[in-house]
Formats: sequence, structure tokens, C-alpha cells
Amino acid sequence: MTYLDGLRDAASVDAIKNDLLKTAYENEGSFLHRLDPRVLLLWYFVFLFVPWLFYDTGVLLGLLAFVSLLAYVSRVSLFLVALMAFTVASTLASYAVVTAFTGDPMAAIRALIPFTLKLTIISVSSLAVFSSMGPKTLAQGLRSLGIPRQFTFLITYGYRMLPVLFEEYHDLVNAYRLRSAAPDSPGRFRWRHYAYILRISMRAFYPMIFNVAKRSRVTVEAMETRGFSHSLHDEASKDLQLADLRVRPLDVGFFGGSLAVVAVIAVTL
Amino acid sequence: MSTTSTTSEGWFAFDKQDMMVFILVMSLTGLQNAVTEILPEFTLGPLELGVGEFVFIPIVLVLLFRTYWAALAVPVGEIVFGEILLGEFDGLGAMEGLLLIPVCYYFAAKLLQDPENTTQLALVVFIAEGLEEFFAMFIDIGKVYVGVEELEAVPGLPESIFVLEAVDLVTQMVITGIVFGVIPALYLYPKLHGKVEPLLGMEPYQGERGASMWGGFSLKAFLAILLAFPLAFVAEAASEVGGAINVVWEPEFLEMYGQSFIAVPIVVAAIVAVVVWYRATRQTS
Repeated sequence: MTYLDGLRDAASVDAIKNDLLKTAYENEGSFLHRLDPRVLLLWYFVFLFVPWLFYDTGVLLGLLAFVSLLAYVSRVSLFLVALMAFTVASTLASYAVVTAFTGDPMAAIRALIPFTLKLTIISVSSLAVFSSMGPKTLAQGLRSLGIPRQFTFLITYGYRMLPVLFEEYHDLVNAYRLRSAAPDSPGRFRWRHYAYILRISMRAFYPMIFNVAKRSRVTVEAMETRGFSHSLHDEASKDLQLADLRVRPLDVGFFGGSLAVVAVIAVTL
Repeated sequence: MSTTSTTSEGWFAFDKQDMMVFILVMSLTGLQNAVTEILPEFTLGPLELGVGEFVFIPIVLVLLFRTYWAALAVPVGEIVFGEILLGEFDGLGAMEGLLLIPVCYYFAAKLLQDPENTTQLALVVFIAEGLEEFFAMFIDIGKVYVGVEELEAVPGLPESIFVLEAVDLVTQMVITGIVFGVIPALYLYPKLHGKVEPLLGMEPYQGERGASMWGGFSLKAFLAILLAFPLAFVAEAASEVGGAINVVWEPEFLEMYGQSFIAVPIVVAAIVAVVVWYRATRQTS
């Protein structure tokens, strides 16, 4: 029973919540975080294409190892990695099971493995890049590439608001739980318990909608008093915001180094 | 009630009220996305059993505000909160939602003509979710076709992909569309109608008693769906399949020129990198 409890603790909603919030906020020290966001975006763009250049499973596995190392260095959430691994494995398995009825399952797996590997390489590299970049640097990078300020503002806004909203929502769920009675018997597989939690987590959105509505009105009014719309067309304000972006030798080294690694993998394997 | 002025300069015909609605819909969709991310879910390959999304929240909000911006805020919320913050952002692949969800939701929202008619409300929510899922299914199937070379050569594989995606559509419609879509929306919409809009300084939508849904059939919105679908497919194919590369870069091509031909894209990438670096340093200095 204690093992079960331990498992439940590790997979509890709170642990996962903390894990996800850590992914979003605690990336200050990671290696990729120190790089220029524009270089990272370009790197990501290149790695969207690189896997499609190869058909050899060995080369693809090498690439996967390389991007996994990067993901490891940038401290990606274990929960997200496990989720992705499970999705990949179960997708392959389900195709095999269904193909067993319609044809040759082994041939299907063989045909799908390179495709799945390529998709996995791309997802792991996006996980590494976007979880280590941090929304503020991402917004800066996108802004310098010409994405409108309105959209990059929303990224930073979401960055600031997500923990607040999470906290508020959690409080509402707890308030609902205090004010209502839990089901007397949990039922088979505790289904009554889960149904009860689910109903409450849906109902807690009702007051939440009003809170967020008020908050968004206050946000917009506050932004207007500080001249948000006015600054949208002002070049000087853009320059000021992007003043600390700089491509340094480290960035070029990282970019060139990854390309060299790809070349080495392609030649040796 | 309204103290904010609505000037139309700045955000191209995007006034302060649109921005409030945008932030509201975006935050709630994102929160919903993050919460359902945490809830346990049973995923079996492309089949998802369990709480996919509390889809009633974005749909009800779009039905209340009925603007294109409100519908656009739904995928943006999912991208900003659910993907970028949690590091699951998949670049061009996010374009699928960005293109498809707003047009489908906007088209459905326009169909709602009588807010007090429960049948109409249920139908509209179902149509919004159904349209989106339906097009997403075709994109999923097409994606595998483009991505796996010689797919037809493997006996039984194309059929099995089709079967799995069709079963997924049905389960999605029952679980996400009805249990977490239509049923809660029927409770939530009347409870919010006329209460949230004044908070943002807006008039609630009155509609017309007994009006038929055909009155709201917007040809423009329908054409937008037909236009967005191929675009979404191209974006999705480009992201997951590396664009045209996969078409040219067949194994036969490699046999002809040898794997050393790989140097070409690497050199091109290096040149692009140098150019970008040069431009960036010149800008900052």
C-alpha cells in the first residue's frame, strides 16, 4: 500500500502542477537560456527540416540522442517527456494492432518507425528550445523578427498571469469542495469520487469567468493610461525594448557546432 | 457603464473592447487548457479517452461576444498558455488550430440567432466542435500520407490509419463534443448571458425570439472555412513533413547523388546563419 501511496504522491495533481510551472519559469540557469532568442528560433527552424533529410534509422537515432542531450541540459520537465514517450509508443502499438486485422503489422511498423522518429526529434528539439527560452526572451525575439507587438504582449501577459490564474482557480475548487458534500461511497474504481472532482472543477470556472472579465478590463484600462496604443507605432519604443538583444560568439558557436554535430552523425553512421 | 473610449486607430479595427474580450477569452481558454493538461487522461495512440478539453468554455464565450477576435483568441490562448509556457510549442503545426478554430467557431456563433432557444444553442455548440474535429481528422490522415513514403505499398496500413482516425472522431465528438461541450454549455450560456458583457461595458446580444438559424448563415464565414482548410493542411504538412524537402529528398534521389549531397543544405544553412548574424550585429551597433 505504501508503494501505491508513493506512486500517487509522485503523480499527484500538485506535483504535476509544480513540475509544469517549473518548466515555464525556472529556466534561468540553463545553457540554451543564455543564447540569443533569434539564433534559437533560427536553430529550431533548421531542425524542423534536418530530420527529413535522412532515411537511415541509425542517423535518426543519433540525431535523437543529440537533441535529447540538449533537452536534458535545458532541464525539460520529466512529466512532459514521459507524456511524449507514452504517446509515441502507444501510437505505434495501436497502428500495429489495427493493421494486424487488415494486413502485415511488422511491415507497417517498419514503414512508420522512421516517420515517428523524425516527429519525435522535432518535438524534443521544440521542447528544449521553447522550455528554456522563457516567454520574455521569446517575445523579444519574435518582436525583433517583426511579429506585431500586440501578439508578443500577449505572450508576456500570459507568462505573468498563468500562476495567478492557477492559484485563483485552485482556491475556487477548494472553496467548492468545502461547501459541498463528497459522495458517501467512492464506488467501483473510485468513479464517484472522480466524477465529483470533475464536476467541481467544471463548476469552479463559473466564478472564474467573472474574475477574469474584471481583470481583463482593468488590464486594458491600465495599459491605456500608460499609453500602450500610442507606443505601438513608435519606433523609439521598439528600439528601447530590443536594445539588449545581441548575437555573441557563443550563439554562432552553438549554431555552427550543432550543424557540425549533424554532419558528423551523417558521415559516421 | 462604459468608461473606455472606443477609438478604432491602432489595432486595425481592433478597439479597446475587442482587446478586453481577447484577453478574457485567451486567459480562460489557456487556463482550461492547462487544467485539463493536468487531469488524468487515457491516451491510446491517436485515440484519446478522457477529458480532452473543457471545450464549453471557449465556445460559450465566443457565442456571447460573437466577434472574429473572440474566436481568434481561442487558439492563441491555447498556444500561449498551453504550448509556449509549457514548452510544447510545435511551430508551424500550431498554424492548424490558428487557422481552423476561429473560422469554425465564428461561423457557428453567427448561426445562433435566438439565445433563448435551447435546441438552437445545443446545435450550434455541436456544429462548432464538429466542424473543427472533422477538418482536423482530414489533416491528420493527409499528414501520414505525405510523411510516410510508399504508404500504399504496406498492406493494410492506409486502411488502419483511416479506421483509427474515424474512431477517434466519434469518441472525440461524444466525449469532448457532448459531455464536455453541449451539456455544460446549455447550463453555462444562460447563466452568463447578460451578466459578463456589462462587466466589459458591452451590450448583451439580444437576438430575435423564434428566429431560424438560417438567418445567421454567413456566406463569408463559410467561405473562410473553405479557404482556411487547405491553408491549414499546407501549414501542417510543411511543419511535420519538412515542406517540399520530403518530396524531392526521396531515397532514390540520395542513391543517385550520394549521401554526401547533404553538404548542400548544411552549407546553405551556414550561409543563412552568417547573413542573419551580419544583419543583426549591424542593426545593434
